Amino acid sequence: MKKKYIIRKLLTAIPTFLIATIILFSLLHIAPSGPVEIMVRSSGKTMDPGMIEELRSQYGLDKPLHQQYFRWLSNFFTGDLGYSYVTNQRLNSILPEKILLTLELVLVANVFSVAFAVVLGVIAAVRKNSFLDNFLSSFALFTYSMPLFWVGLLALYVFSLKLGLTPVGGVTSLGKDFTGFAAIADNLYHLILPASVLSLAYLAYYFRLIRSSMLDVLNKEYVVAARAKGVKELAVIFKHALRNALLPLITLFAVSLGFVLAGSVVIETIFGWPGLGRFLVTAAFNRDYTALLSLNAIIVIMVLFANLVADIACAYVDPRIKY
Amino acid sequence: MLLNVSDLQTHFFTDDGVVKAADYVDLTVEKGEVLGLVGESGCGKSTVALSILRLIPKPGKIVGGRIEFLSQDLLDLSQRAMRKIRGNEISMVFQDPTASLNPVLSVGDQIGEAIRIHQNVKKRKEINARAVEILQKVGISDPRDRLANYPHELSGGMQQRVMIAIALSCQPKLLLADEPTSSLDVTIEAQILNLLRELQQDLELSMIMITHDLGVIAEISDRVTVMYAGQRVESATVTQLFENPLHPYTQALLEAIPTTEHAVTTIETIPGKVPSLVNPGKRCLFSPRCEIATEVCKSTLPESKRVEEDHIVACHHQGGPDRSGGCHEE
Repeated sequence: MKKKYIIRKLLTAIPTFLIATIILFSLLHIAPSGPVEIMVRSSGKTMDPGMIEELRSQYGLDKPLHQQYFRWLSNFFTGDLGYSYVTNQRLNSILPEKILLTLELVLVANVFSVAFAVVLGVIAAVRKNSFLDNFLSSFALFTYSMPLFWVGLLALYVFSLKLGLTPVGGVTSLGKDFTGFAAIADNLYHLILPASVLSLAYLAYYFRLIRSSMLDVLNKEYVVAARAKGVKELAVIFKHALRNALLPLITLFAVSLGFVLAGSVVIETIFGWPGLGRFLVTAAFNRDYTALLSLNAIIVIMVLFANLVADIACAYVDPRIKY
Repeated sequence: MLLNVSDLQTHFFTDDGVVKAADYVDLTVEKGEVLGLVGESGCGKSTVALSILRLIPKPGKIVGGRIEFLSQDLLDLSQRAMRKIRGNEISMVFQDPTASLNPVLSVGDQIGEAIRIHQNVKKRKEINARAVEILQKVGISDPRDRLANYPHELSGGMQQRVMIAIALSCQPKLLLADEPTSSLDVTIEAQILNLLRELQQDLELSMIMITHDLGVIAEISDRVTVMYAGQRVESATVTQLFENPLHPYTQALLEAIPTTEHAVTTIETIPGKVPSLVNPGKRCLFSPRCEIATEVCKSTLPESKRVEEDHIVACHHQGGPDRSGGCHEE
């Protein structure tokens, strides 16, 4: 039964993927100017129209749009992500490392924000209207209202430049050859500040959600019924209330992964984290068609996958969901 | 005496003022007795039940009175000691079983929880065996299979049976049944009432049956306490109450029961509405709706008077202008 449910969810992901990539593809082609024009302009030389045509046909850009799309699609699914016009590298050789770096950043940030949000949200809901609750709620509003790039710059200034607690950027320390645990520790040392900044915005978001969801659940009759059974308050909160309060968060967690990835674009740029986000910005500026398309398609797959995981998790936590 | 609630005052401190949801309420329950607690919605019946378990939600608070259970005042107990009472000595069945069963925990989990907490049984197998036994007692077929079910997989009547099973899983001395049938179909209602009565007799259980339905009261209780606007207005045995209701509110309630003897064209109602419980003032709270109210009713709170053995009423006129006097103060 569960297997069937997962397969059904997977099948519904296919049209979503196709529609998303068709839209992406169309948007790229609606935008004025093209990759060849940009290549020519950035080289600073003039080129006669004949050569431009030749370059266009060399890259297959003179073919009808649907042919270009299907060629990209079949290549994508056979594992060929294409070729970056800008860096002159095969995307297969440069993307995996960037994907891993971004996943590292995004997952650590998400785990941070969810873990803190659940703990703080539960405390705030249980101590509703207390000083702590008011403080946490105002603080959440404060961090939520601050633009990510500004928090990033501020954090860099305070923690890296003034206090010297964290490195200014990058993934590892330059010029040092760590191995084993030291290498991991060095990487985490570089990760801590960008991940914290990225998590801060979502922490506020998740916190407010958990708090209101918890408040709602704590007023339910089954919570009173649990207390009437003699259940200890901690078990009432975590076993009876939190499990119900988490349901909306699981779905939101998956949906917001897309936003977190978008946030990572800003963070990666500020902290010199060479992940997908930074590559995406460069690719967008240079109208790097294949890179943009393949990269976005990968992000679409990541978001779809996260939604699938959330659906399965929801079905696991909430018995009312039919397989 | 198993339970003796005296002068219970439970107030809710809201932004609009202090709501006196229970104001100097007295009631007693003897061992093996069923006390019916009757009144309109919002008259404080559930507040009394939740006060006994000390589960009044914020901004509510028990501000005065005594709740003596087995000769100890529950209001003096620590939270820890109170938890040992809840679900073990005193348990509660709620109005809406769909809302009072946790949707994400299995039936077995929810029954087993009370057994695990109070009976010091730790082994899963043993807990399940006890759960099966109690499910059988409340008339659930294939109890072993039901343990793995979730609440939404059961019908409303089944859910209420599960709630009763949870409440009775630790052989409590007192069961608080807060309108246990009002969210159920009429046919299911009869089944659940029969079940409660059978269990009550088999287990020699004491019970407070909270309801707004006098039919239920007639069927199941030994004595009745009538509440109006957070106050006790009358208390009597079932026979006394039905044959000789003394408070005008009780009389009106009895008249409002539709009968099949005459063709019913209009349903009797009590005119007016329940007064606000914020600063109700020093007067008989029923006086604005009372047909026999006089000046004294609008200016003085009536005292509870014992008119007969087991029959107490709080009315200046004791149910009629011609019946005043000839009684002793309680």
